[in-house]
Amino acid sequence: MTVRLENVSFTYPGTQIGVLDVNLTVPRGELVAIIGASGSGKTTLLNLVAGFLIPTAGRIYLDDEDVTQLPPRTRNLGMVFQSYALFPHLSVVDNVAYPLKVRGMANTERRKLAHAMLQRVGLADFALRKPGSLSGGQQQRVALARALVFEPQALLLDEPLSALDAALRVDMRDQIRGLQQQQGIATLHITHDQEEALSIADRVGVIERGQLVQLDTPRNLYDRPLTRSIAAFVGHANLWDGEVTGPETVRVSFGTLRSGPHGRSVGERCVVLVRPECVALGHGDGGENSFDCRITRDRFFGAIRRYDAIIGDQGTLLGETGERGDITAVHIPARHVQLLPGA
Amino acid sequence: MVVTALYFIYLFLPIVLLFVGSFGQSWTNTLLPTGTTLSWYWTLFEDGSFRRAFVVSLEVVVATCVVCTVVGLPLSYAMYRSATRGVQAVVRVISLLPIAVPPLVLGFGYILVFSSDTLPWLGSQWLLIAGHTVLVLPYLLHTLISDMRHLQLHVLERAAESLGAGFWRRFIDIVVPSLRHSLASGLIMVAALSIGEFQLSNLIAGFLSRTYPVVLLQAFYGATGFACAATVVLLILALLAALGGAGTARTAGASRSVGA
Repeated sequence: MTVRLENVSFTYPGTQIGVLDVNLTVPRGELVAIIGASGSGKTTLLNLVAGFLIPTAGRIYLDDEDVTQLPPRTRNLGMVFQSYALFPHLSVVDNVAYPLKVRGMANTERRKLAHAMLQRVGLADFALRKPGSLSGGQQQRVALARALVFEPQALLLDEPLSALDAALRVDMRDQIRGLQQQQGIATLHITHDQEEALSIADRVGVIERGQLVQLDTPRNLYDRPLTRSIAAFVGHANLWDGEVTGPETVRVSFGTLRSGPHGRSVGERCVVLVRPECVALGHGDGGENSFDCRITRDRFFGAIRRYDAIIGDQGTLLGETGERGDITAVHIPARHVQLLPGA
Repeated sequence: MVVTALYFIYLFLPIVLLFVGSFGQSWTNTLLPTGTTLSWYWTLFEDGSFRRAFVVSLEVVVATCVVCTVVGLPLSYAMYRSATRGVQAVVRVISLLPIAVPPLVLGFGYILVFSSDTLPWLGSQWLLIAGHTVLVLPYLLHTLISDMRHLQLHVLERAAESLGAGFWRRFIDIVVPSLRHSLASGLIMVAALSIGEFQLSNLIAGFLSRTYPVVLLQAFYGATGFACAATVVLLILALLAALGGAGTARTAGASRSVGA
């Protein structure tokens, strides 16, 4: 089933907050993650798809059926909530069987299906327990089982992992992705964790002040962000204000950088993006984009080491390396110097 | 430690003395009563007005609990779900008024209104039940609403709605059973308050619908042992009511969750 949003807008009464003119298609089997800071409108977007909010303009389609005005319960969408929202008075298996009960399925049959679903999330042994006695990760798997057991048209995930601790989160990520691909279900995943989005999604959308500013594959989003704020939000980034001085050069506060051909005119203001892992140590061949520097902060993460360096008097640079030795100079290969529109 | 111990003595000594006194033959000008007897309880049992009051009190408590449940559940739900903060604040003030206003004032009001020719209901047991409900309902509402907040009931309902459940389905399947614990503890409070209620009952109860505490007052003018025995019975009555309140709520909750 395909989820399709056409020019969807919504503003909360009496405010300017909401979502603005969003176009988005999630085809069958695809997982689209929507990331954004808190208050950017990502949860609003999810609530619009779920039917808890009705758009002020635009249309929402499931396959080709217009569901814009339909109430949530008739949309047949599986939803997983940040707080899991398991029913505390029902056993795990009854929680999972609940959507089937609502659909009028006989008791034995719905319990059989619920058990099969619990098996798939690895919780068959917990069927008769109450949700309150389960760990956070287990509760989330129950919530996932409950959202999938009735074969919904699409799956909506509202920050499903944010209440879990870091190690478990990575594990659950893989589980969600695995189940989603087994079921081949269109999935909309809302998160503020960009790493989670990049690692799990087929495509990632960035939402800023209610607008979907970029929708792209994780790799393109990271490598080719459209704006300064997207570059800053997705991963770590060096972002310097610059001015174009030639077809392949740009001047920043601490010197002039060579870039690839950028197609901008001389004198144009721009933002220069260099990802920290693209910064190399020592002077490069022919001294291109090479600078002496002084390290002001050095953080060791095991596999990588992330450092702040000062170039000249004022240029600050964030770099990542696997090297252990002292750092006295850095260079930036020209192909890793990207120009973004000026702020 | 010492303070706690002293406080407990202060708290339980009167109750212990009541027990002792109720079995004592005579108790005048001595620290402890002299002689033991069960005759005060027998006298109490033989007294028609006390027997009647005992039954009336039980009836009033049960009826108050039922009315509070029937009114309180939907009302607390409506208060919890009502959209604007303004509405919630107003409703909260209104529901707190019976707590803030002394029952005496309420009683006078009842006398004024219900002794008129158009509404001649003063002295009826139904009016007594209504009065008790007004007095104790806010406590139940508070218990229920704080539990709804704690459970984040609106999220649970959202989940149920996304799974396909309509309003009534959610109310029966999710809302009511989720609240069964707070309903139980709220009803215990309701029962205990209703059984011990004196001020309002004393003013508006009719001669045949006097509750136990109202009749108990007369015992204090008689023999000490008799008064003690009568008070012990009230204590037991209060305990029974509390247990009964808890029991009803639990079975109600259990029978609902079995069907789920």
